[in-house]
Amino acid sequence: MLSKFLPRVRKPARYCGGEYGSVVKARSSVELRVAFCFPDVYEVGMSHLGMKILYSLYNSLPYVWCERCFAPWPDMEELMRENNIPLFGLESRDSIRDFDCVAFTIQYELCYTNILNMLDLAGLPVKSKDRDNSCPLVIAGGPCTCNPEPIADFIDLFVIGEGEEVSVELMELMKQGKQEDITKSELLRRASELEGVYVPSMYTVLYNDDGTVKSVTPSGDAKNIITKRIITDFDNVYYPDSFVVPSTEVIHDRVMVEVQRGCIRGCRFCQAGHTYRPIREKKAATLARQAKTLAENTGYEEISLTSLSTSDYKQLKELVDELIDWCRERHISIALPSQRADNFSMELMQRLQAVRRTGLTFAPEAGTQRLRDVINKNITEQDLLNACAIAFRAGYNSVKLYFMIGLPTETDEDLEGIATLAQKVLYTWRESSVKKTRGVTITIGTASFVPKPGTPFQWCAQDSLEELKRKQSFLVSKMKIKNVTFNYHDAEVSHLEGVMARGDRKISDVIELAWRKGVRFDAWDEHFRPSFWRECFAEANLDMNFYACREREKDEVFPWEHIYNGVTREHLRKEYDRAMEGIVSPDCRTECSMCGAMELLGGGMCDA
Amino acid sequence: MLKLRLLYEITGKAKYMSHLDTMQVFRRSFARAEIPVSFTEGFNPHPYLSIALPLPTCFESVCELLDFDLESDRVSNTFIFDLNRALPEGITVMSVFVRVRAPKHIEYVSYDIEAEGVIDTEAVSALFERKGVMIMKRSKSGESEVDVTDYIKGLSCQKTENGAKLSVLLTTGAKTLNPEYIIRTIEKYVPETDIEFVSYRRTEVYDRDMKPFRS
Repeated sequence: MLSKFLPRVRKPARYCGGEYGSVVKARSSVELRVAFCFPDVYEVGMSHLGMKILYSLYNSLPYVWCERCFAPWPDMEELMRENNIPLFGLESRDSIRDFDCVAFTIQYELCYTNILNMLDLAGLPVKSKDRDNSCPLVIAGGPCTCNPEPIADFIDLFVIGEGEEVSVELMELMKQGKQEDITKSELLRRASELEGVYVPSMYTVLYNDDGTVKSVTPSGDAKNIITKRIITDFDNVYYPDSFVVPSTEVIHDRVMVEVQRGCIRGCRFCQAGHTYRPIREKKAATLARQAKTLAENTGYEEISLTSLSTSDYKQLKELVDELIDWCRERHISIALPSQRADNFSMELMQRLQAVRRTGLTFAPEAGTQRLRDVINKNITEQDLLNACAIAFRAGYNSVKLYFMIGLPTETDEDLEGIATLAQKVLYTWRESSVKKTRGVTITIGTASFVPKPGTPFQWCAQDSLEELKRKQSFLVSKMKIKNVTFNYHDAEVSHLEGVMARGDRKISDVIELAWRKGVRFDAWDEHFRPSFWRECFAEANLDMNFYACREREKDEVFPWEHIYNGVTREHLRKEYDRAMEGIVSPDCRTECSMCGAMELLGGGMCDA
Repeated sequence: MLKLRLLYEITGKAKYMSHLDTMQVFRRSFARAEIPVSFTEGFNPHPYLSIALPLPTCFESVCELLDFDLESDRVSNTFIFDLNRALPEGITVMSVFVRVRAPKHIEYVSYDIEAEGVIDTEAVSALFERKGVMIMKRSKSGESEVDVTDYIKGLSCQKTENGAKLSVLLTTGAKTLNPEYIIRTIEKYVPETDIEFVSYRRTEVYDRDMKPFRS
């Protein structure tokens, strides 16, 4: 059946499965069928490390067969709907409607409509309350569960925090439940007893007259606060020894090893830097073994040493020493993403021969020291210019710099600072380049700041759409510098992201409305329909600016108040106050800030 | 060093891979099978791999040829077994041998085409017996009108349960025709044709003497 349609769609390899390393089990040999769903296209989902870990983990359980499922591109969706082809698992091509569990990983706010669309394509009601005992359990995890409320009506249960242990506990529970033939509500009740599991239907949200949250009240035995799950022994956490190797080009297609989880820097805008606390690292020997095993089993030609800030990994030199000769013999390169301008090592980059291949990218985030102090990005102009000078002296002739606009307390002077910094990088090139004939390319990318839950800036107003657009055109006028390319993201996208990030349960209706109007793939420029969204918010009588552009009171109850990521509200507020005063805070290695996250380790120490 | 050539099939799920996908799949499969293929020199070394005739996406084939060089002087007894175990579903290596001639000596290529739908097989046979069957053909230099029969060295068309099966022998090299043009030509010239679905399979490659091209 499918083979009749695949030749008619773009990139049919997205839908066909059969890749090296994909897991096929006998249907009769397993008790639970799981569809691991990534609500974006194959090329994006297959680049995601978390999915690789959990796919392999689920399939390591003999009684589980976990398959992959991605959002079909609209051309495929049309064919599926016309011909009544339900959403299927890539491995078996069976309809996921008949599976026991449909598990979504939620990486960004703009995929929410895709979740609804995938449920619908599977033949499932989109709302949790409309799915009966015959439907698979719909679960979700990932970074966006810091505030799961906008999609609380659609998901049966959320896994908060790190999934490697709780996923197994959930599977055990589901297996048991299936043997006892229990109802969905009983299954959810039992699941709610697991640490880190949040069953939204067991909580009632009341609102104040002004639209803010009054209270979130659990029913029955449900926990008042759901604390995220965390891996205390990170060196020994489950890690796959093979990946599915796509047979077609995807975005990130390489061996990835996770050198550490968490980050010692307390950049105040950064959600990952706060919600993955505290920092835990793996031993260099562990990582070298995992990298080699994965490279042998996948045949990849690149190994990426992944983390939020890889140049902060304490054993980086040891790890590279362990890998470099082994890799060179096999024509495998080593990539170091996420390096900081204040401690990156050109010597290391040259040893890896990584410089010319991948290019140099730094993220100063703001144009002036004042604003960098506000956001606690502890990088000075001198750090950046030094890093660039070293790179240019090493023969390098292109550099990318990432900034944010719309940061709290930002003025036009800060924006001009971005242009000034670009100019200074250009001067640095003129002074230090050894190959002037080739010219230089300086790329300045700016994203619009989106205040995120779980960060010190969760109280902050996002700049209005008009203000973001004004700032962008202001920057365009300042950025007419030779050799400098200036890019910026669509402000409308950031605005919607701002609404979703701090949204409450009332937003669920808007998401459903937008999806019914045909909204899909908001993260893709060619499909993003801001006017549709505005109509839907108006129809639901909700104000987008209420969610995105409102400064919150100090003691406002947030929609995500019952979700605890380990960093105390007091710490976040202290950091907010320091930001407003322009005071920096030291990183975790220099001095513990007592943020609270170490308590999650049950008396253990973090690896700062 | 040995200069080698693989004969392999592409069927089933593997047919959706593009030509470049297939090259990448082989690179990684050689690595997984720990087969020491030669790499190019230079700053960014990559294995020297070359596919004789690129296969269009969604085509199956039982006669694909891939050229590569082996670092060692002998081919392991388990070479084919090892490589097949490392390849994804749908790519199967049948043999490996020392290559002598370059792929430019391939002059003809045959395809089986299965068309489902309404198709008058007698009219199709008659159509390709004459000369001057003109269609628009796209090439690197743009679109131009060509006589399809200039590219066809042999064609047979038989009725099947769901439509028709065509076997065609086409020229390649200087004059290459994608067999999809055969179906387009039929749709253009044979009245009342209504084809719903077509599948293509490359069946053999030949040299100028019409001998299967191998080493």
